[in-house]
Amino acid sequence: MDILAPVNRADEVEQLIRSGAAEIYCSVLSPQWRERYSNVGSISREEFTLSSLRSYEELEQVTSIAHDNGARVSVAFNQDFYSSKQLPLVLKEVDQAVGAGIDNLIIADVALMATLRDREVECDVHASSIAAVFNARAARFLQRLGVSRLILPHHLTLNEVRTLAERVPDIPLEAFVLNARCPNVEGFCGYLHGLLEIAYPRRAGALFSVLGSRWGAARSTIVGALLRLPRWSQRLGPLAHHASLYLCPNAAAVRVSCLEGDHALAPAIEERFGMDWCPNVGGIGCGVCALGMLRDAGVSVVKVQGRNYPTAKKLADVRFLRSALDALENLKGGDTFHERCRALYSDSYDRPCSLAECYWPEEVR
Amino acid sequence: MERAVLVSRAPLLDTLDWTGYDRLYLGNGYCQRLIPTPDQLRSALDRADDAHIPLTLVTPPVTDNGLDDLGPVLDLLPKGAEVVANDWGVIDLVAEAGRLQPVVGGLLHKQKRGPRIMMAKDLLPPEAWDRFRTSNMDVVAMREILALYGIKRVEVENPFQGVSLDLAGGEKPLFGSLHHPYVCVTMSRYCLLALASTRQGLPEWGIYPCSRMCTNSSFQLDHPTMGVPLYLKGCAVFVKNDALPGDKELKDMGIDRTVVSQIPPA
Repeated sequence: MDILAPVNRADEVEQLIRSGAAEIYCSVLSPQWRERYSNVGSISREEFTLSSLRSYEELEQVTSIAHDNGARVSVAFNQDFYSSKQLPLVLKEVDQAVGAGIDNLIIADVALMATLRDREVECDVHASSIAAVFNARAARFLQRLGVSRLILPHHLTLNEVRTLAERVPDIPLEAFVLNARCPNVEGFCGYLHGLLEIAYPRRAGALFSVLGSRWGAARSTIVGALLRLPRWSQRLGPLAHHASLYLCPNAAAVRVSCLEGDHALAPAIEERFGMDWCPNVGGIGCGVCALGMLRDAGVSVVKVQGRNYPTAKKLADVRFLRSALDALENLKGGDTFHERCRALYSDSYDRPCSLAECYWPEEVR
Repeated sequence: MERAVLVSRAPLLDTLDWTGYDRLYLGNGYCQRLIPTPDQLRSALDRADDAHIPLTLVTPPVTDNGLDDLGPVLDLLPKGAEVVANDWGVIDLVAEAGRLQPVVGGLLHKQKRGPRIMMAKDLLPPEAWDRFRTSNMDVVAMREILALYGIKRVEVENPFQGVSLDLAGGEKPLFGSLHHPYVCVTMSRYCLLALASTRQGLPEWGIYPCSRMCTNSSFQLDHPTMGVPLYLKGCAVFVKNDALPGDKELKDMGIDRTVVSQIPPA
């Protein structure tokens, strides 16, 4: 199995490859796109400016470094759709990416897939998890549109992954195994996330410079604190309150009241929103001890989420995943592998893994 | 303008006032556990017949097992019946059978629906705002894909920023059905109701068995930055938008049907 790692800066590419990544993925939020559509209408699904490279010249550097080190590069153009008016600029930027020497495009919009197939684009097209493919028929539909690899959505059980893989053995599969796992099906979600940057640009700049810096090692703590902030920040004034909430619509500030049915469920639902778990911007979430099951199901590439994470976090993730894959090769027996993964997790992150972080808690124990 | 009513669960037909509706939409577009049973669908078809109106079946995104379960249900529908599909696999299945009419559901019709978009109205560049009012259904390549599958109709949601579509235009025109007043903002397979009832006090998020407690429960979620209440029904979250475009505006966009939901349709 290959490791696919995220980058948002050219200077982290070589380190990630040397740590075990065989593929790199990224996105580009160019000045011309940002000027017309802002970060909220980003060309990729990532709305935070910090998540993307700033130019196709930087993408050329990424590609050059990756290829020199024997790795492939994928670029995400994975908005759920592009309008008719956006298409000429999308295609121009796809051409720039292909011209930069990339190997794969990550696409969610089926109309764009068909357009690229008809234009005989000179690189492979991978279906983004945003395409939300849950069954083999949908996978075949995308294959006819030119897709050569399927990135599985988060919201599939391991059994469902197995069934899908059995029915499309000729379509390579890629699965997320580390970091954020949104509670909503990303391909069907209408929430906006990047509003902080246009509503409070200076505050957003300061926040993201901290999250993206070497202080980002404390990222989970910072984000966790921000997400807890709303519970008491109303006393500090609406600005702090709003600033923290703009990060994530699932933040811990939802008050739940029952309209019909079991009133006792309302506090339990509210508790879910208050859990110490940040689905979109936090640095947790792990499905590594399912690697054996994913491999046996036919998943050939495992992916680390988090383009906007600090380099130190990305490196720790790739090293952890590499060591787990090595352990998988050398150990036999699922339980033994689970125990080994837990030990590797503790070594990598200085804390034990927990069910709150587990990608497949219903099946991996 | 055709007027339809959407009933997400067959038992709710017992209390439905059928007056003034030209069509019945039956089914849940979000959770495959709530696909009507064959008996429920037979009964609904009989009731729709009694009311002299056609039935459109609404289907959710499905896994392979869900797709297998859906086949026998589709077999019960009369020739030419509409099937609203929220999954390309379902569209493929319906089109392959050739007997039924696939319709693009709201989850495949890509529109941004988050209510916070209204806070960004004056901050976004004009082209970005325009983009948030349109969708993937006006794109030529999409129309060509839909034509290959014999698709002539698309379900349209009515988000707060409004819609600006030209479904009737182009070489391969479409008809639109505008749903109101509820707008689906998001959905999950990590169902909050299932987690709250079966994993209370436990930290994990996953896809767990449930006892369908969503069929008689709904919740209001108040979130300080949303500006409006959110409604959690089943595994989906909705907002309510009572502002309906005028008939001429709808007609100009190619929308010839409105679909009313009396409660959040999940």
